[in-house]
Amino acid sequence: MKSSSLAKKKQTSVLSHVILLLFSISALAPLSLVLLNSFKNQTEIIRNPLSWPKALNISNYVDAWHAANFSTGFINSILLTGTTIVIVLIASGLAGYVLAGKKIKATQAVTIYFMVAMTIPIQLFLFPLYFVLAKFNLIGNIYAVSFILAAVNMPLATFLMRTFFMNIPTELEESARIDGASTFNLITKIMFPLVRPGLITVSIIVGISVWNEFLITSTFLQGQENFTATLGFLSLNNTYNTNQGLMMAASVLMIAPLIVFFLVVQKYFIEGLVSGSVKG
Amino acid sequence: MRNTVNYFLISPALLISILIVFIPGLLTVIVAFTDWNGVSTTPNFVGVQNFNELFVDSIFWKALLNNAKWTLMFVTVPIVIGLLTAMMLLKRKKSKSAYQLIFLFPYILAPTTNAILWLNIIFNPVSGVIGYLQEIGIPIDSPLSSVDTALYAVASVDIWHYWGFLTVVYLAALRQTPAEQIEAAYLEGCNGWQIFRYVYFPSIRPTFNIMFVMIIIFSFLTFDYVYLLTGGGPSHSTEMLSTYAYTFAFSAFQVGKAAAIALFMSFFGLLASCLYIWMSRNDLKN
Amino acid sequence: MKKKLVGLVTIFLVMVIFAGCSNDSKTTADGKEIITMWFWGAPPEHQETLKKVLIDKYNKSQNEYELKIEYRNSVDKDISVALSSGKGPDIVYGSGPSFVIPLAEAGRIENLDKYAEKYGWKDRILDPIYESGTVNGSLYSLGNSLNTVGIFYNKKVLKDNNWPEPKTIEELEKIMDEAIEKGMYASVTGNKGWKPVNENYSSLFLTHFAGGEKVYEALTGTTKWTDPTIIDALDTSADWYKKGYLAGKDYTNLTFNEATQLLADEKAPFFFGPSLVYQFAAQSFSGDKAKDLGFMAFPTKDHETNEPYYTLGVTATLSINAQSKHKDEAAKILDTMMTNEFMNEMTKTWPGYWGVPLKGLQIDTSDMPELSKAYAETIKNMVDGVNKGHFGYYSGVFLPPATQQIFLDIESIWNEQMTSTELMKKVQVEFDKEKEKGLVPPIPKPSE
Repeated sequence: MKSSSLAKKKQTSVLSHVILLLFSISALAPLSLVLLNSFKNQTEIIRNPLSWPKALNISNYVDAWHAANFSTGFINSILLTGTTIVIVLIASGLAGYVLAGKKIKATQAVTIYFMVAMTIPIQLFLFPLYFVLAKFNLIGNIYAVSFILAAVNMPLATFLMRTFFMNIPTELEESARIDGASTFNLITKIMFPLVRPGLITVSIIVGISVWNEFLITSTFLQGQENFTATLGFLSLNNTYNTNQGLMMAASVLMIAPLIVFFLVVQKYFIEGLVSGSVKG
Repeated sequence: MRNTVNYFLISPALLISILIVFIPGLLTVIVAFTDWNGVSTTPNFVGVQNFNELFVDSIFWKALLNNAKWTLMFVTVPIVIGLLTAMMLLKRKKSKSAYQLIFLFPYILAPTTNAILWLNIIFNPVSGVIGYLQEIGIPIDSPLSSVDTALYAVASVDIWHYWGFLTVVYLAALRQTPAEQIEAAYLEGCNGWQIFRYVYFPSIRPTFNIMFVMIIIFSFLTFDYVYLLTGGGPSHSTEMLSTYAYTFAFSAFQVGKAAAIALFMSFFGLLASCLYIWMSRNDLKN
Repeated sequence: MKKKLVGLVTIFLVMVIFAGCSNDSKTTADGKEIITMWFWGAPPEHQETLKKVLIDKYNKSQNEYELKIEYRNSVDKDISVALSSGKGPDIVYGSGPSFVIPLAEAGRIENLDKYAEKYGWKDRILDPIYESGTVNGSLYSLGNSLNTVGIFYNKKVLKDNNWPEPKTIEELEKIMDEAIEKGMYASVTGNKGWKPVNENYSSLFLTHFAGGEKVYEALTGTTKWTDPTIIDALDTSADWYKKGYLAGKDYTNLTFNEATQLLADEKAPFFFGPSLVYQFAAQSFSGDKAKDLGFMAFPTKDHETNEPYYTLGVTATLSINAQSKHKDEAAKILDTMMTNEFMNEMTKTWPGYWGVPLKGLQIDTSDMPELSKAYAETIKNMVDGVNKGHFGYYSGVFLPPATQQIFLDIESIWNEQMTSTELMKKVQVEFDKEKEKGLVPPIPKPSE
């Protein structure tokens, strides 16, 4: 009886491994084509995008780096993404904390409000927003743009943070209160560390979406020296004429910082933190 | 006092959102009742004319239907894949991070690149993967070129790029399930499905609900991949409300009409919001 | 761990401060005023050409101003949002004369009459193009380059198969039938990833099958778009599509890039496409192959009409922002772009996009590579044809914007989602509306 259940467990474990591998392949196989073609020139790609590159030719990478102006683009992108993440984490973290505990009468109203805010299509508030920013002479200002991006990401981030706070037992907060913790201390010392997985998840989500954003950034950033890496990348491309090898190489370059970011952030994702502290 | 502090805590998120998204969004509502072309200084109020024109426009209805189909696909396929993979990763202490990164790859690659990849390399009957399959004798054609399959092809590409995102979100929520509950369930001899159904799922329910509703809302806003892969074609078979609105706003100089379409996009999102409020009615009660 | 985090945050803060210092005023470090122009996204070699021929040359010619070009993948959207708030670049790059009308009427772009007089543009620029850039009799935009839809052909393929250069539509059809029999494409082209490619074919069938005069009547309102001649032309387009004359079943599977490659690889005798396709030919018709690429005007249905006959279009328009502080300089830059010299120098390394619409176009092909030479000659021939009045209309250039969107739906006829008559009824309704709003640009009259 016992051995059979063990065998069954092993079976399911093998099965889950196979399934995970299959999904990994489905994610990676198409992308390997991106890598493959980033070493080829246009004619080679169009003739046969599946062929092995004739030589490990990195000229696409060199051209892309210069033409897309990545040296300034990356700095702008890091600034924009970093600022946006900070704004979103602070604002949505606090809001999520309040909403999760239903600490204000207007909880339901605020929830509904954020729902409504999420349904507004970006394309159409561009005009009025641009008008206002132009009045304040903020067009081209990276920080102004990060507030816009933060606002766009705010509802989802708030909702996610709320759900993460909801998982923290109320007793924990109550006992801290009884011990005399101020709201500030309670939030920074106890609550925020407990929702670290949530903060990390939100920063990954927001980070990726801001890094790749182009609808808002292309509208509000002006002057090629203010362009993000994504805008620099897109400046090489128009719908009639695409140098595919170049675009592939440029996009490989563009995801590198995101991977580093993801790996760094994952390090802070400490296993079992929540359950551990709840028990204690 | 405590109450004031709490209002203070929530104010940054609210203020940023209201000033940047909500108020300009309200202006869009007004624009929907004008003939504004996007540049003129003297738009005229035209009442509900924009809406009347849309109601008799077969392309508009087609776009609406396409959005509905799109929503159906998105609330099923990626959610199932996301939950399945997240559950599987939960037990993998060491490989968890690596798998997450792999699954996220399609999501972090620029949409433009993914579009080039699928359009010119995979769905390419002349020299790409489809062409190769034809060569070895499989009778297959680019699904993007047929009015019957284009919508599903575009949705597949979008789902392919998106599900890894859900895995990461679900996994983060699953990891917060209290360990003692899981242990207790094991001791009682629950099988894998039962543990998921009665322990994990209730625990991630708030996250599940919000993602579910968000997917519906975003399905009515979806734009990138459709615009990049088909531009709404062939023959409007993949036209979405968003692509149709974009055409009106930036190609046809009819921003008023585009705003009217945007109201529809929001309207269906609002319906989904009501669904959310209903689903989480217990959590929201004071 | 914590130290690392502190380090990261410090670096980030330093960057923030640095970025805060670099202000975005409109002068350069050495005190020059900046003049901006926004352009589509362009591959590095094209950016390089523009830099060499336009930017560097202008910047060296004086020391008060500096010209900067921003390459933007979404230039249409960016410009319309920016102009609507009275901002945006000094030089406004637009998608065609009909897009200029709303901008001009809203006072967003500058009336160019005084510059036209100063620089003598009216005498230099092809009449129909000049006229199409006017709104209520005043000039608001200049076409940067002529564009026409015609037949690209692979000379080697024609020779190898003993096909003569087709002079009539019947000859063209005969060759295409034979090509299909031989397992080739009758022609290659495609709208993959960019639906507006369709406008080339709606325009081609209007010009060469319905005829420029008939379209002139429809554009000026003396006949309806549902005129049997126009319906016939569109029905023919559907016939052609179904017979496989437009890339067989691969019309939706090919980009212009891929189509030129197939033409170069001798998979098809023809590629019906706009002259701007010369841009991509350099990659596929490289080296010795360059001399295999030919271009001819499309024959007309009843070839009593004076041939060669051209679909008249421009690739883009250039205007000046009404809020620009440097209008005179901007006009000066536009003027340099309206010269033989500019045409020849740009075409040398970037054929296809800079066929400046000059009445007295003088091409200097002596040190041009093969493809540039071919393009320059194509444009020269076109100028001669247009000067004689042998032209029809590009729908994207002469139709108002919303009507043009309906013309892009020509594929709905091909896919049997709609009949020609239904589509043209829709066109008529939208056209009447836009005509009433004054959105139809001035229509130059072709010769009888």
